[in-house]
Order: sequence, then C-alpha cells, then structure tokens
Amino acid sequence: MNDDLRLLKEFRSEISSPDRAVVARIRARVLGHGTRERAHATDPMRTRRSKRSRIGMGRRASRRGLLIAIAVTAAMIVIGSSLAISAGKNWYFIGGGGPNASDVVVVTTGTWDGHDWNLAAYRNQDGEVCFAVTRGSSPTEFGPQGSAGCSRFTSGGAVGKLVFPTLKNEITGLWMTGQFNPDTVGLGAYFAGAVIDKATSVRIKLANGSTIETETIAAPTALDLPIRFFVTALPSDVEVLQVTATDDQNAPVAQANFPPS
Amino acid sequence: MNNPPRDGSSDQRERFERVFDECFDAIHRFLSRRVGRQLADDLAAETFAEALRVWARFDGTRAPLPWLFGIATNTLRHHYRSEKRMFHAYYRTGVDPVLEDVELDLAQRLDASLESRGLARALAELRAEERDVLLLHAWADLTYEDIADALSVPIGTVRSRLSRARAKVRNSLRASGQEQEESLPLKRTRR
Repeated sequence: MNDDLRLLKEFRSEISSPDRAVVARIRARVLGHGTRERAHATDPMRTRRSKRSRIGMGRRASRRGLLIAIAVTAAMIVIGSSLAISAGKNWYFIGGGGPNASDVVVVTTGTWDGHDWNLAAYRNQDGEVCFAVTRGSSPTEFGPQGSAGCSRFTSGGAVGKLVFPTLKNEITGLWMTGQFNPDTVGLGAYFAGAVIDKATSVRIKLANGSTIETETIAAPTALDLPIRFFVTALPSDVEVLQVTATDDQNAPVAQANFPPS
Repeated sequence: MNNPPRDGSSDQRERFERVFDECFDAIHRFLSRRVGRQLADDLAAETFAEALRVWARFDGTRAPLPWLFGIATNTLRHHYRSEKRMFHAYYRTGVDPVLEDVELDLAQRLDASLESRGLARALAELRAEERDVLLLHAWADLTYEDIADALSVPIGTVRSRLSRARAKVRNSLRASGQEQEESLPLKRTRR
C-alpha cells in the first residue's frame, strides 16, 4: 500500500468506538421514545436511577423537592413573563396551553458539572416551536416538573415560543437564559436558542468582556423547520449583552442585543 | 424524528433499527476522526435522523453503510472550518484533539509521529470536496462506485478528485518532512 494511504489508515485506527451510553442516548434521540427503555439498557446512569427507585430512596420525595426548588427559583427570577404550564402529548411545557402538533424531540444532550441535561423542542398547533433545557437525558426523565427549565426569558416576545411566519427575517430566534439553583437542581446558567439554518455558529458576548462561541445544532427532522439550535453553559452572574450568529464563512447572519431594544 | 418511516411498516422500522445498531459505530468513528468526538455525537445523530426520514426511499438491495457515509459527509458540510481547525491544531501542537478526552498520559498524546502531524496539515490544506473523496476511500473503505453513489457525482469525478487529493497529500508530506527535519525537535521519548 502506498505511504499516503497507509498513513491515513493508521490515523483512522487511533479512534475507538463511541461510549455505549452515548450510543444509547443518540439511539433514543433518533429512534424516539418508543425504544428509549431498550436504548438505556446499557446506560449505567439509567440502571443506577432505576435501582434507586426500586429500593425506595424517595424518588417521589426528591421529585417534590425538585418541584419546590424550581418553583421558588422560577418565581424569583422570571422577569416580566408569565408561565403557563400546558400538557400536550403527555408532556408539560411552557406554552399557550394548546396541544402539541409534534412529538417532543430531544435536540441535544450533555452534562454540566456532572448533571445530565437535554435541550428538547416541539411544534405547537399554531405553527410555533417551543424549546427548553431540562435536567436529565430526556425531558421526561425527571417528570413533568423538569420542563421548568424555561425559567427566565430576556425577550419581550411570546413566552417560550418562537414564531416563524417570516423566515425572510435574518433573525428568527428567541434567546433565553436560565438560572437554576445549583444546590438543588444542578444546572447553572445557560443560554439556549434557535436561529435560521444558515447559521453554523453563535458568538455570545458577555458583560464581563468575554465571548463564548458555540456551534449550532441541526433541528431534529420531526420539527420540519429550517432552523438550528444552540446551547451553552454560562458563567454565573454574568449578563449577556449580544448574540451574533454567523454562517460557515464567518459572516454574521443574525444578531440580537440584550435587553431587547 | 420519533415518527416511524413513512410507509408505517414495523418491518421497515425494525430494519432501520438493525442498520442503526450495525452501522452506528463506523459512522461515529468516521465523524470523530474528522471533527472530534463531541461534534461527532451531534452529526451522527443528524446522519441517522436524516437516514430515517428518507428510509422509505432507500433501495433495500444496496448496502446501507456507503449510503450512510454519504449522508454523514453531507452533514459535515457546515463544519469544514472546524475540521480544518482541528487538523491544523494537531499539526501545530502534536496533540491529537480527538484523543484529548481519552485517558492517555501527556507523553503518549505528544508522541504523535511527525508523519501524522504532516498528514494532519495535508488534510487541512485539501479542498473540501477532495478531502471528502479521499477520506471516504481511505477511512470508510468505499470503492469508487460507492463514493460516486454516496456523493451523487460521476465516477470520473471521484477518480480525478482522489488522484488530485493523493498527489497533494504526498507532496505535502514530502514538504513537511523536510521542514520538520530542519526545524522541529526530535520525537519525544516516553517517560
């Protein structure tokens, strides 16, 4: 074999197979909740939680505590917004109260400070998409109270919704920040949003002078919308000043200032 | 994404699940090598979500893996800059960014051969469409016909892109070998 091909194959061989828990999460994300239990069968985190539940370590109690913590935190930090919790397709979410038009789909998952989180979204019957960051690897893992991830919105627009009637607009996202009580819930400050699909990365300018850059994530096909999502953890107690989305040529394609003018 | 394939057949759904289980690792490793593990998670999910969306139109007599590599390559198109940055970083530092999150000691990670670093630079300098063809051939082990099918380009285009890409890589390897002899320190020894 020629040297260039030999080197290339050696280069490839250094990469090992993905972690089984990662595969299980992605399998559940792609194939849907119908296969979730099967997909999680090899996930040690899942096994541990199930065992805790079986031996009665107060999952109900911890859920109650979680609900209280989130409710108190949300009540303190929600500014100028009212939250309406609705149930649609067996899932609670912040929205207008109508039923969902699509399944709730997990856009992406990750871990902050050892705590799993997920960004999930759905379309409602008004043609809007709603999204939230919640604790756990799926929006239902911690029960309906987990949906309180949409806790604080810095936009004056509709609460927890994106409206896409005018895709010609360069910016179509509603940006949101959230702050959970890290002692009780485990998720700190974050910034999540959606943007038109030509945006490949997002730069978030903070009041302390630093900038965070994160790549955007394709919307799940179930949403059938030309958008991409982004989500990133933020330093605590730092205000967001500006968000700029750029395309693959690094050209700005969308921008939002905070507070919205 | 949670919806079954369009024909609603449970057989179709089960077949897709089998394909997922059989092919996921190969697709993920391919994407990891190109853009790093973290982004590979997203792109692998995106690849299989797209595959599921169009699964009803997939010709069941064909092997699914080349088809999936084609979709995976399409998902990479928004991330060529990340890929180039990663290869450049590997060349500059000698630390493979893909292996950063793996339990390797520092000496081991710094022990990248000069050839590998040269190769990383060569890959970064290729045109995206040349890199796609080369890596589908070398990393995904696809034939010319499979690559043509996966990328929806004529087989002659595959041959010419592959030929150009390999020539560029060989030239770049020769050049970087000479540069490294003159300027880079000798290969580190393990502690």
